[in-house]
Amino acid sequence: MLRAKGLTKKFGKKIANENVNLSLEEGEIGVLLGPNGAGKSTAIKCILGLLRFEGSVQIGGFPASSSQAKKILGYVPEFPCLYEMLTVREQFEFVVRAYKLDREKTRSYAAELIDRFRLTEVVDTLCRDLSKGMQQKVSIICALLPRPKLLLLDEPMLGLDPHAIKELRQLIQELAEEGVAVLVSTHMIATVEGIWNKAYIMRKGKVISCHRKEEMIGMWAESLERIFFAETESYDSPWFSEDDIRITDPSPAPSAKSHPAGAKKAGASHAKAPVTHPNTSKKKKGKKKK
Amino acid sequence: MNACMYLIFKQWRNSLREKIKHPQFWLWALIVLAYFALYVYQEINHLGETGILDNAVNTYKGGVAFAFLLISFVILGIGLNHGNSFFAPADIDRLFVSPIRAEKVLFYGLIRKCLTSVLATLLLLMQLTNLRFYFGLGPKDLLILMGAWLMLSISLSVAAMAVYSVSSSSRLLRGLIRASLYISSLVIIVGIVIALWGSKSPWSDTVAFFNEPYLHVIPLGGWACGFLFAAMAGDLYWTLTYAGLMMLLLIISILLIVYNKSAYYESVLTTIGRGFGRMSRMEIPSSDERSKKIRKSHLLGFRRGEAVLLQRQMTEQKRSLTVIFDRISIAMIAVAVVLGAFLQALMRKGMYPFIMQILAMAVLCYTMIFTIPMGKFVEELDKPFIYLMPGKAFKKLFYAATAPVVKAFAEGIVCLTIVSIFARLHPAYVPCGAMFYASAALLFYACYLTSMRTLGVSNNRHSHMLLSFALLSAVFIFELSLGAYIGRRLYAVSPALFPLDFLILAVFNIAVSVIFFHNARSILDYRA
Repeated sequence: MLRAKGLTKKFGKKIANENVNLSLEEGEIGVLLGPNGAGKSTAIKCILGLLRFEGSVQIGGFPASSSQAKKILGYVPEFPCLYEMLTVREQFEFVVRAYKLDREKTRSYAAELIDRFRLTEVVDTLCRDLSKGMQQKVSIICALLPRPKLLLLDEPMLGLDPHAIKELRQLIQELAEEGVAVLVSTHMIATVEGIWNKAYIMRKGKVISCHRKEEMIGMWAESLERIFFAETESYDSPWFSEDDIRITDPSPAPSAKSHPAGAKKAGASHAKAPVTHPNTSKKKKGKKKK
Repeated sequence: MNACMYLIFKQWRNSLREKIKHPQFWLWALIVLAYFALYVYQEINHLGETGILDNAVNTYKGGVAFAFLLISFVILGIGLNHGNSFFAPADIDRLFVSPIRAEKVLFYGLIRKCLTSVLATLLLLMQLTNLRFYFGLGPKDLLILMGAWLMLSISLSVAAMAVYSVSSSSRLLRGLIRASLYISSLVIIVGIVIALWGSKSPWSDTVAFFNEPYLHVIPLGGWACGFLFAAMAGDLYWTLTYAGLMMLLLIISILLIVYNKSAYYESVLTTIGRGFGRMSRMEIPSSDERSKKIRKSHLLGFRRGEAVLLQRQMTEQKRSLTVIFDRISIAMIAVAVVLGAFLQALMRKGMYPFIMQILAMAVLCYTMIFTIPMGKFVEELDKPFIYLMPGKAFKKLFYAATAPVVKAFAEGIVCLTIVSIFARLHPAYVPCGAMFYASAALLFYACYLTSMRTLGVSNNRHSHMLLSFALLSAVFIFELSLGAYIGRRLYAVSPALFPLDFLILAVFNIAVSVIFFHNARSILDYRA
């Protein structure tokens, strides 16, 4: 559903994303993790076609900026930017018109979502009069109304109450079961723990590792939080080199070499870092020896 | 109704519904209606009467040419620097990512922008009878004027967007377009100065300058003038040529906008804020370079207490252009040059120096007050820092408003020096006049604060501006009589002492400002 290859984004001299490779299949829940300034939001903006970039991004086989791609794409921005002078109901009506949706079907779906996110009492309120959390809920519903096949969520849990977070987690899982590919960028790792299939960890504009859930089962680093800290700390270690970037994704980046030497080079402090799948590790070690 | 039209209509309807809930709206409506009623009443009473001015046709043409050129430079400049304002932040997350065609999205942005020129058109409509009365224009001429204005306003909006769009992908290109705009403006200013140099009748020479046909080569503003002049003269060939040129530029602009849509989107996204702007501007200097730069500014860490508010603004100002001057200063210097040339022409006609001093000060102060940067001061009041930092409220407000006053003083020195050289005014006029000029800026800030204290900080910014203008006018009217009284006595002692009048009035301004600041200090209590 989503294929980003060699995505590179520069803002003048500053490289925001360098050779980022992402892929998501239908029904997969991908998580984009990384510290502040890692380039997660920029990558999402590139996928959305809001920023120019080098490389290629395809959504459902279409180029990211094409209207065919936009039709199957849902997006929840980091900050809920709604039309302040529209009511919640009008906001949904705008989405119906913009995506040329079937009014009757969408109405019942909207009613269901409004009910789930407990917005029934504010449907006729102007968006500027809503709290930040409520605006975020409206933003989420707007993204879901066109029934997208790829859903991009940039920090979707920000400002949500615990009930809404629970509801959103459940909704993401349901969507994935229906075959929707979901990419969530978040700092709140606990909120996506247990629902993810694939985790991309970003640092300084690069994807430093990619992990599949099924590969991690039974390993000490099964927890997403452990993976995140191990990866980001190892990246910050003075012994870390470009060669240590490892991608366990089936479609690896052409330039991203795999890892193994990291543990050897790193010494004691780096020893806790390796969390790659044992099979891939062995293969890579073999390559290194040659 | 498509999505974009739905958006425009519903937003407009909802904002109108919200506005009518406030008494302010009804007050404004009443004023506009009263003005309109008075206008219609006067028209009916003076139907068919005329009071045609001397050299009416040329004056009308010169006036229209000046207005068209000024409007086109201003709108293109705004388009170049603030082309992102065609869209709201919500448009990025809702409209740009939706499957609506880029052309429609851009058209929506254009309609949003064009709505602002509706007001200007209404103002022009209100002046039609004055134009008939003073310039003897017939229905055909008025129709031509309206046609030229409509063509110009639509073409300018599209061209402004195109200029922003084309230059989105390259900073160099944006710089070159900006430079060409400045150079064209400079050429016109130099032209006016040359026309006025040694002139014995400055007004008619200025009018003649704006009637020159070579101004019609300037895109849009000049073409609109060419269209108007040719249509008034009944020259069909040139009328169609200029109209065709404007249409051609319109079509090219639309094509450029559509072609550069991704660059445009990115530029809107990066300039509208939300973190991306910082990245696009980032030069990533090393920490040593950065600390050197900070030390070099001599501003950070130099002062303590409430003065940090001034320091911070000066540091921000330094990082945007220079410590003191900004882009408005360049415009003010241009005004001073033209004013100086005009005063020189008046001097040759034997005008008294003290009248020229008053005239120069009035023009410069009036221009300065209309261009004074109020945004930073208002921003400061929006941030929590000013409320939370320890210190006296009076001092905090004073320092928050000081940076533009310092700028005004430096600007006053430069502008008045230019005027003094051209019109051979007394050297003491420069420092004394600059003091008055800066104190007028301070007084305007004080009036704005008083308005905030009276209407409430969260009230509409336009209401604050209106009340502060009213307050300032009241102070200035009193000051005018005070200045005349003191000035007469000083002039009687010696004409060289007359500039001291401005110094005395500056002290008066500062005293009034201190009272206003002191009175408004409680606004920092409410939002803490």
